[in-house]
Amino acid sequence: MTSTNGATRLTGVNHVTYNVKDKDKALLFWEDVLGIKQIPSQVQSDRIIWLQLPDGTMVHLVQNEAGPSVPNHHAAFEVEDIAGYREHIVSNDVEASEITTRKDGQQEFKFYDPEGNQIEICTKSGFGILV
Amino acid sequence: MISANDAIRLKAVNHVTYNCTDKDRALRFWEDVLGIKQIPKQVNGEHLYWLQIPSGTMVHLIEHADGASAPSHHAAFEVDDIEAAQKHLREDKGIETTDISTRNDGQRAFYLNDTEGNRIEICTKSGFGVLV
Repeated sequence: MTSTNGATRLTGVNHVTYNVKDKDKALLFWEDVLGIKQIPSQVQSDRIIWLQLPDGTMVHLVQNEAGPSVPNHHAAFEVEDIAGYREHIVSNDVEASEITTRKDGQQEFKFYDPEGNQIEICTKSGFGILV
Repeated sequence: MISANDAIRLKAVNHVTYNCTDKDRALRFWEDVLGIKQIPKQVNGEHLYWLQIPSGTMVHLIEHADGASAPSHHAAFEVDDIEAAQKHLREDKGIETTDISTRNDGQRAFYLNDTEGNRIEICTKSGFGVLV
């Protein structure tokens, strides 16, 4: 077992990255279609765009010629009304999988951004904090 | 702008995935070195493990012949005492890490790789609050 104590325990996710070939095209999709808003970047690099979710977690879009992120790397974003969100996504001419249900009752569906990155939309998990 | 109302607004990250070529080797590293604990998975796949951090967000390790996740895809995990965390990884676990760097908002961060070649960031909380 790990010997990490409280102060060196990893407590939360600060941000996740998504690799993209065209960061401006990706930003249009992530802001206008997904509804995740841009915030000021805190690094000097011109190839990164920072976005934030209401819980404070960030998404960093990173321009990279070898993008998108593969083989099937993705983050899953929580939403209250998953059927409503899927309807919204499909109405933007995005092909999405059907909504499926996991053992804990969590519902989810997936699609790809214009860069070829996989994105999952889901409801909250059916279990609480187990760790 | 998005026409979504509040009920269809994306509010939080539920989990992030990391691809690996050997899920058992990866699990040992993620549990024993990183200290992120396994929980019961809620799907039937044999090719993945579920882990959870205290905020409730999960990490799913997914075995895939083409893993690791590329090109530089990573998640950043928050820690209270970043110097102690780096010292613990370097001295107790023998893991190579980058030096700690500081962003414009005062957030400090360093990087390491897992056994699969995945990039992992360890960081302090961001210096700004919720802006959206």
